[in-house]
Amino acid sequence: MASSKDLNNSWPEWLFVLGLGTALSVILNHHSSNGLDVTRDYFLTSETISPKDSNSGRQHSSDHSFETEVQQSIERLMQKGFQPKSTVEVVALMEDPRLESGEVVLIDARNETLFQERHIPGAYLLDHYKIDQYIDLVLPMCQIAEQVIVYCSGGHCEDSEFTATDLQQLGVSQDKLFIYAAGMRGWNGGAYPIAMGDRFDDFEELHSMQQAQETP
Amino acid sequence: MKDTAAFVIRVFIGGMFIYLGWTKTLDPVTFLKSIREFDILQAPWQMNVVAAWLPWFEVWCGLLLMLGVAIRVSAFSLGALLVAFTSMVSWRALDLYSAGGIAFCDIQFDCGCGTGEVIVCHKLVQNVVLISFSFWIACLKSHKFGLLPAIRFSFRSGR
Repeated sequence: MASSKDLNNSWPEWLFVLGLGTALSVILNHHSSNGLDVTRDYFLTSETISPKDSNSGRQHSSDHSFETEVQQSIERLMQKGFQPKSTVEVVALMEDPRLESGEVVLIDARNETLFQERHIPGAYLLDHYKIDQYIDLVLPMCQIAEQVIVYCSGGHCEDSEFTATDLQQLGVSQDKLFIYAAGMRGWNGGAYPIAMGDRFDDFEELHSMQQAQETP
Repeated sequence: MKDTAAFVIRVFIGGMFIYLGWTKTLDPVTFLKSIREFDILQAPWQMNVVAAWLPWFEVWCGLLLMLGVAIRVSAFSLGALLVAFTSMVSWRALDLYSAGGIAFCDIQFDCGCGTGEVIVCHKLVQNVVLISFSFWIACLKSHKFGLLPAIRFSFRSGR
């Protein structure tokens, strides 16, 4: 067995493992397309939702329903000055021409993988954590829209709140910013129209679905 | 026999950390969110540095361990990381347990370990075993079956 003295004496080996490992981490993080910006405040200095309240502690699943989570989120969002949108209101948008004309803008604040898997038809992707990649397309739409509705996964998911705050800081008036707190979990639960892949053919798919429903 | 066991354990732990670290490098945002949920680091830059550095460092140490380079230090580093992870998981599990309503071993959550949601008791037992193996590897005087000869750095007696 090696003694602790052996480990203490091998400082060049420590330097190699820790020093080179750290240097490589910095370089790889910098060059990775998924890399983090260490200087950015991703959580906008908001307080962590307590683990006791969060959906990540599974022991609460029996007495801590999704509806409760959504209600808690709505209360939190309203305290911060955001206006909530219900599932009924977002469902009504599917037949509202203002969505297609851009007077109402839907924003999906999840990541690209989740967006590609499924999103609410007509939504634009705006990932708060990679905002630079999407903001040039989305911001002009939000600036001219009458209403901007942001959603994420739903419940305690905070990404919609962070994205709405980003938009607010970039000049979009808080009066027209809404958050759909039930998010994709609430949307999926109701078996409402779903779009997959990129946004460009969402309305074509939506119209086909609506026509199919109307045809006896 | 001991050499073979040490080699198998080394490759297993190394491979596991390469996989877990790589998973986190592909989605550092999810890892960053997990770090935030632990509520231990407060400053944004501290969370960012850990989320940016740790996954690549895990891959690096895992590679060194598998390839048989700087084995003792890389095994010791991974063991120390495991001790830190285990303390954090225990602390959070106790926090959830204190909220009441369920047995400790029924608590499940995503610990940010790269394996999704875990049952706390299983995770703690697994980590204790891995910590023991890591420190055992770190304490062994010599290692055989390295894919590369162990690089030993020392200014003393050419060790």
